[in-house]
Amino acid sequence: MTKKKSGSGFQLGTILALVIMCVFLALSNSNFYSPSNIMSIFKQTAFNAFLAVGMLLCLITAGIDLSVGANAVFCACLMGALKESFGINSGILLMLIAVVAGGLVGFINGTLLTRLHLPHPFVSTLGMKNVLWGMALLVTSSKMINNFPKSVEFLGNQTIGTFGGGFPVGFIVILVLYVIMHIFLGKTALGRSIYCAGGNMEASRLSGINTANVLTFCYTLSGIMAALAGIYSIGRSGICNGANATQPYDTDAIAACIIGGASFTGGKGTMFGTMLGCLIIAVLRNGFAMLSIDSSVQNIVLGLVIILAVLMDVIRAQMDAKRRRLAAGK
Amino acid sequence: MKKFFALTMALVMALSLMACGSKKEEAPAESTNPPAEESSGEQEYNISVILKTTSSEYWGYVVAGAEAYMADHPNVHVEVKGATSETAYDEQQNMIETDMNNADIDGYVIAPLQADMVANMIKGQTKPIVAVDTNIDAPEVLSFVGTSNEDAGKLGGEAAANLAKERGWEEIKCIEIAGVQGDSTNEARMRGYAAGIEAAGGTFLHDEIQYANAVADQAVTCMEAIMQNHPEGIAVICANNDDMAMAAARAAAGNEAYANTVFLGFDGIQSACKSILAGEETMSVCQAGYDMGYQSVDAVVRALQGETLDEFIEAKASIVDPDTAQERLELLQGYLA
Repeated sequence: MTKKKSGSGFQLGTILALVIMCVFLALSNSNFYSPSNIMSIFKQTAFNAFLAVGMLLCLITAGIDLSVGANAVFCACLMGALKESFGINSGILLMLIAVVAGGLVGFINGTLLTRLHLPHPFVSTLGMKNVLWGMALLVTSSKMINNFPKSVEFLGNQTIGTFGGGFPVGFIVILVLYVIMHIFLGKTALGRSIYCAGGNMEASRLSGINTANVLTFCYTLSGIMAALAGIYSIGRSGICNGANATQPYDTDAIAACIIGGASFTGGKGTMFGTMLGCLIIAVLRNGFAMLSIDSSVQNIVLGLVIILAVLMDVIRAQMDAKRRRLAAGK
Repeated sequence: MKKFFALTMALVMALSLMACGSKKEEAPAESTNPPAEESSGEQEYNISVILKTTSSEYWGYVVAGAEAYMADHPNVHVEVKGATSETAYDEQQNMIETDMNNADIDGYVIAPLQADMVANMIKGQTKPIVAVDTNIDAPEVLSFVGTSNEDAGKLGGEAAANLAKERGWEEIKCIEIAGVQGDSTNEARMRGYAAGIEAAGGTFLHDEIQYANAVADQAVTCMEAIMQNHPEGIAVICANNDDMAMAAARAAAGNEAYANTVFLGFDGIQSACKSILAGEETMSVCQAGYDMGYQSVDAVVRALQGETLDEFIEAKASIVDPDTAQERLELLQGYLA
């Protein structure tokens, strides 16, 4: 119970940070609170929110997946290449292939970690990021591809209703996904095993949890989420381009998770907190665009936010350790 | 683990031996067969072509042009290389450094990622060097093949502003969705766009430049912000590349105020031609990548043969619009076929 209360307190702080940012931006630009801009923020949140689901699972296990962004781009490029080179125009088939490919990449990441015993997922997923970058360029022959089937673009392009230009379908999917994942992590045996494995891997193993399978599951799911993000990105921009695999999408996903209460030391993090983190990043980026802020300033602010988030994680870990020491002393 | 290590080592050794073996086999072949130089009467040349990257469609055309020269001239061997991306400055630095010390290379074609850095690296080089796409301000560089990004941008800016007038815009305002801030190509194109828009009597909104890091999804975010800040519409949205122009046009689709907006891209790649034909992106500035590749190798060969080169060899930029998109598309498909 105590843990839950401290988590809620932290998330209250995150909500407050989000509110303060929104107020500041609303005062700086009167268009910020227009219904259409709020819908734009939801659209801008969804891509990172897909990636952050997988990233959160990996972070809970004290791991990391640095290949999520490149995986998303690769899956999008794979769909583009299949459409261009093999004439596959069935959106359902393209999306299915993308999800399987993304999942397979995640499964390989998990296998490298658990079965081939690579020392830390940082190494394997960083390597995988480069592999996927190259693969994305290879399958598309370094060309940008557009004109995807409407069904592929549906997730990132479709809206419902008329308020503010329509509520984005992609964000509705995100909300549903986050609720499902929240229930999964808190109410199912596998979900709890993920927290256990992140809290203490050896103790989990000794208590009968197959930690290798749990970790492989997390990385596979992370790959599937990356594939969904790739599909979403096609709907948003209408194109895929292998060169985009170098973009720091993974940094945004990590930042969202850490801002939302996840920890590099594992065992922590919630879907609600991660959603708040994603919204903060999206509001920040939206604000940069609304105020036409230079890249230089954008980089400084985003960098500071990430440093601040990690600093908060360190402070939280220190406070937890102190609390445990005090409790043990009593 | 030891077995795996041993196997890897064995593989590496085997490959090394194979590599050594193949060289040994080549040597007698050279000695028994008369060299092409003697048989055809033409001097053989090894040209190193170091591009900004080879990982993009545009640079693929430059590669195709350079390789086409090699196909047309069997006595010229062209080796094309490029960094993994247009921001991998250190990779290109290493490539240039390595090739500058390679005695087998007779001449160089360089598309510098950072022209000033390359100018320092080639100091004292006596073999012919030709700059392509972006000029290098150094006495060692005999010629520059290309159109400056600034001139090409100006051409596009003027064409976009004029089209906007034809579409009924009375006030020609232009906002750029830019690439990577600080990147020399981005800055040059930006200056060109601004000059072109202003030359045509429009206003380039310098204070409202949006930086989207040359990425389509960030361009969508920028376009959404532009529509929030300018609900009345903007006459011209120019982007640093076609990815962003297409994404911006897509984001504005359905917004009545932007129905007549001119979306100007850069590069004129195949997907842009398709987008223009589909009525999404309006027009694109294209540089003659294939011609640049071909002409730059030709210039180095001519320099090696003792010819004095012009300081500037123009590879003209042009505009792709709905009237020329189909023709351009077929041309590009032919280059890569």
